[in-house]
Amino acid sequence: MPKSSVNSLRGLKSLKPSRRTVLKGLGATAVATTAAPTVKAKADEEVNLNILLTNIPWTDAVLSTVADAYNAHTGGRVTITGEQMPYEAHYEKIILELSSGSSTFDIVTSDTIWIRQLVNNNWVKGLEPMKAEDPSLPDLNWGDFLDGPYLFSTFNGERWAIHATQSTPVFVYRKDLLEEAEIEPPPLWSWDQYRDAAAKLTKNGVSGTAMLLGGQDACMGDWMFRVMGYDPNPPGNDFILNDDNEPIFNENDRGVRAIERMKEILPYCPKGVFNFDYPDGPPLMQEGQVALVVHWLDMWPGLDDPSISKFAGNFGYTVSPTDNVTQHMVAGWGMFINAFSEHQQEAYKFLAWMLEGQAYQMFREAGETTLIYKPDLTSDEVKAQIPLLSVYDDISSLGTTYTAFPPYKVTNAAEVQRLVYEEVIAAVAGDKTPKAAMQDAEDRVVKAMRG
Amino acid sequence: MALASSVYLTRKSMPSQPGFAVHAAEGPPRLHRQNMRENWAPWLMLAPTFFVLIAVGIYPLGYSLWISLHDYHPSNPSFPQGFIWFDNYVKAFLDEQARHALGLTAIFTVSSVAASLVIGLGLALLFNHQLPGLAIARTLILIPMLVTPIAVGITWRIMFNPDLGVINYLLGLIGIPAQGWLASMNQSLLSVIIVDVWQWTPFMFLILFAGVRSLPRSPFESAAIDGASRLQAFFLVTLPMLRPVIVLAVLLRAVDSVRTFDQIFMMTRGGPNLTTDLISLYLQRVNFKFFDIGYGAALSWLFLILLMIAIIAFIRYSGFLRGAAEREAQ
Repeated sequence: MPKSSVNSLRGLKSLKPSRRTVLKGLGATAVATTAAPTVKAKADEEVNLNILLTNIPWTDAVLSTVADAYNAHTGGRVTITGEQMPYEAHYEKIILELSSGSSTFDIVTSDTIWIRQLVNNNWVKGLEPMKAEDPSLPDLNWGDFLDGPYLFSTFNGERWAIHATQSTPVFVYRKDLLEEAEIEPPPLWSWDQYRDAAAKLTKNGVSGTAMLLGGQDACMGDWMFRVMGYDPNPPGNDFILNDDNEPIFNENDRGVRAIERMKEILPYCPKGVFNFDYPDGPPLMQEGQVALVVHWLDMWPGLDDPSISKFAGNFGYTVSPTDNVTQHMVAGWGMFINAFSEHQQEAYKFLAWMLEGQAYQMFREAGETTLIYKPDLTSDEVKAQIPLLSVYDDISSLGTTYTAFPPYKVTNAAEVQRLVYEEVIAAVAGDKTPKAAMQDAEDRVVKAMRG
Repeated sequence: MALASSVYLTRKSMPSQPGFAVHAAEGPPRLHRQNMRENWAPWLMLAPTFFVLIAVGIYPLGYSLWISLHDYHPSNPSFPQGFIWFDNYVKAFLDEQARHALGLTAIFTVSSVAASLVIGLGLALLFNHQLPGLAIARTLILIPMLVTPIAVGITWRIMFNPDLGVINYLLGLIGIPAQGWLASMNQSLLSVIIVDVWQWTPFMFLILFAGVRSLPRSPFESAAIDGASRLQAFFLVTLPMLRPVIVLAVLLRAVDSVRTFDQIFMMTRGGPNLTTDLISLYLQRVNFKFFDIGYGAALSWLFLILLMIAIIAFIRYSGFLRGAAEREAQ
């Protein structure tokens, strides 16, 4: 040790503080002790709510206009931040975060198919159960919203989430091409009519129709839109499994018939049909490559925007064709409170504030089309701005009932969906007969039901 | 081991060192302290490295081996969990999809490595000549290797689009009908191989070019004097002399190729109809879609073992080590 250091240490050892120094020290300690609770209270007041989001228009609004509005509403006390993930990665992120008990995100958003996994594993807190536990929390205003997606997030009669969006299948068609081919426009077409129209419209470089067979969730949509037309299904059921987790997707051969319906329109689809996923749908219509498509409502933002769509103003929107019954599936994104969050009460208050409606108007202003806020859906101005929403007029005039998107009741829904997808795509591709594919799908799903 | 020996030698040689006598004269406690310091100092210095190696290498490997003997579903706590011996390994052997994915991986790797070897070698020989503009071309040719695989995947997905992509457009200009590429079950694997070859041929080129440049001139001069044609010189002189470099390049490229994930995930996600579902994509699905972590770990271990067997066999039968030993003896 250097000499100078040794001397300093010796100096410290021999230090005898003066009375003045001791008094100064005591004074400083007293000030620090008095100030500490104030500093802590200030820290308690300022809260940051972090949200796990996907990357669609309403989530942009959450991180910008909604965040600013809520920050102003709380007098600058609560800030909203978040992370936006692509669809597939979003699921992985939820599972990795919540299965490890992470409190990184106070609120997590979930597509309907994953909800039961979050709830059954006790990874999220229920909103109505929270209110029952603590009546001082604000009331939740459900009345102004469509209740379709709440099928997925209601347990034992209590709502666990607020839903940001509601999606449903929409039949999008080119009005000009139908008129040119002298085809009577829908609603309500059968799948036979759809196939015949697709055949007739396949000419001059335009494909009659398209499907999105390259993505698991997207392809399952194509298949389920056809399955849902065969048998009536009570809203709380799903088409894949009954309450005992037994496969029911091929009851009365509906699964097989839905595959056959997909196969019969393959010749009228673009070449890339087996590789198309969600992002590929809008350009097909915007560029005028395809005449008819049936897919989720949230697939089609911007079709009537002339700056990005060559055929803006030429699109018609209505309910999906059917073979037998008229019902429409619903799905949509929900917002849940992370059970490991350190700000559960604050998260609850934020969600309660969102249900006052202002936030949903901001979603619309950000370009979201899968609206759920009733005053938006009944507004002529909004309907003129988003022609897609006319599907709801047809839904109400035809009296179609809504039903759940499968397979939402099991905790490993993503796995079950994958197994069925692989068999459906093998059959559509011609590797297996539809009957063999459905039999294999049933066997694989039974094996996957381990819980 | 080498370290321990050196410590042992130091200790044994101490009595003959002049310093030892001085220390000995001062008494045994001081000698003991110095010995301790000399014994521990190297270990203390190496400790951080060992710690990092254990923390990020050995422990995770051991843990994954342990997990592979379990039914483990962190995303579904209600599922059966616990120690199940080798059930996951038995399941892996019976898993038709795993075998399918393994087969595809073998086809992908062999085709991609072979194609990039041939093209890379051709380019290396071409760029060995003194031609104008080759220096700039040599730099440009390395660009694909520098692009991130995700960007490569997205770009090629757009280019391969059968309806809107530039490749079908260009083919159309010369009268070739539009192809399905990534969307076609017959062409999807070929398409992803093309992309892999495009991206990694520069890597092959770089190694082989360095090898070609380092070849001595005298064997070529002797061959020329003996009247060997260019083709004979290539097959009888260039290739044998380049063999160690080729083996090394193939080995590195093959190991990289079997791990390919990002670009294929972006282009096809294993489709259509699982025609590009390589083992890396299947492993990702089992682990991070199904969160069947125990089974995923077992599959990974089996894959690792297979890969190591293949590498050892390749090194052994390619004569790489023999060649190296011969060179060292010379």
